[in-house]
Amino acid sequence: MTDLLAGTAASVHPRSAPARIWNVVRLHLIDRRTYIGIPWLIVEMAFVITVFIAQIIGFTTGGLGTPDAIEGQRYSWAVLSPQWYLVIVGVQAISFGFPLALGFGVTRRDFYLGTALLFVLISAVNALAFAVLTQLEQVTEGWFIDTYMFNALWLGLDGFWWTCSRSS
Amino acid sequence: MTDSIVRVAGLTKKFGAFTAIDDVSFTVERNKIYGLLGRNGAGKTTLMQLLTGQQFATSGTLEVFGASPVENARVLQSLCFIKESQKYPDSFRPDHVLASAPWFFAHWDAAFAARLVDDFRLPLNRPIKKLSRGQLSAVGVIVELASRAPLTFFDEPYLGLDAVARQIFYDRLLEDYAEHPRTIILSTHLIDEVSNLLEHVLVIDEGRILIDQDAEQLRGSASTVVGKKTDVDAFVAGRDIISRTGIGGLASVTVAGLSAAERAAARATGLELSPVSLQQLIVQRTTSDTAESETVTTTDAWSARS
Repeated sequence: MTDLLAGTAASVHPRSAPARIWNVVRLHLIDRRTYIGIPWLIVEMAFVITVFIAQIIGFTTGGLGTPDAIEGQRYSWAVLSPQWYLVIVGVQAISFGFPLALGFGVTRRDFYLGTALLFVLISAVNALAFAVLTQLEQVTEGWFIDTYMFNALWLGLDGFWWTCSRSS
Repeated sequence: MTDSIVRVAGLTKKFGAFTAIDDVSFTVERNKIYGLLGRNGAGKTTLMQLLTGQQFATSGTLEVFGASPVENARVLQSLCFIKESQKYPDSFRPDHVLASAPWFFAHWDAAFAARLVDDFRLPLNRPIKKLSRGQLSAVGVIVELASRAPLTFFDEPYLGLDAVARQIFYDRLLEDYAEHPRTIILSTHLIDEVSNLLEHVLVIDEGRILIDQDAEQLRGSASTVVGKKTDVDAFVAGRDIISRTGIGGLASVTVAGLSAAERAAARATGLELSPVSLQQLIVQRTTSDTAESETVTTTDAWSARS
């Protein structure tokens, strides 16, 4: 009897734990808008707004290229804007994604690990993307219009390429 | 052939002071279609959530494919249970659900899913939160049918589905079941519509299993005797009477278990015998005293529709 029972369940090709956890990540990412599309749309909108505000400040104070202006723009933190959206989405991943995962026969453990992995990956990819954008911003001297968004206080760095080129 | 894939013994689930499932024991055999029937709030969904590891039992033992389903990936991979009130991520559209389902169900048949989408006329690109109740049910039904999970649960699958869609559901279920046998547990209160599908009936009422019987046997377990009141009364005297109605000098009495000889005797005295539908039988068995008149009206409405 027990053999029979074990035999049937095995016929369903048990998936390995990494495959199951990766499936949870894929389930979250199947709608790309939620974790990738909308956060980057927010970044784009924040950038547009930053450009507008910087230009207004530029007109009124007569120049954005000064060290003071560059330093001042580091306080805008517009670059943090997608984070708050991702916090809310993180809550929704539990309240809406979890019931669906349960229906799909995912264990709570696999769902937790998969969701945690998803956010670690998003954080890593976003960190890398922001680092690259920060460098670009430095190299192009504020996107050629002296507008700095990514080089924010805390998040931003002066950029080692930038530093190297200046100090040499 | 009588290997059981689900074994439940003394299962109890309490939510605080409320006992949703009360000392339930039954087994489910492989490749049969089970009907899990009962009134609203009888404990059907809770029982299915326990069987799929979505709820934790308060006491008792529960084995699915030889092990407890709770946090057991091997067991859960063989199950499919889309709740009647299934929630989906906010931005999800039906195509997202159908694209991700194959990652979780080893036997998923994409062609079958596509055919069902056409059958149910499900708009794939509309956000799920904008779907009608019937279309929402269709999403669940399509996933459950196309998953071909060895143990599939249907929780009120026809909620909001129109008559055509319900017929399509029965047809596709039977067709696909014949080609790919699997164990199906169908929870519903539209008993008459599914009674021909069911091979085994589990009736649950107030958390207890009331009937656990082969569907064929259950149908044969009662008959309605119709005729002149005096004749009927004489015939049913001393028998297990399930229900009784009458107009003027005519009476209609449902009695339990008649043998072939007794049937012949009844016909000889000019009485008419008719089979009792599963629904009538279950309604009669699960009607508590207070709700009697109400339930009778409901039965009529149901009969009229089918």
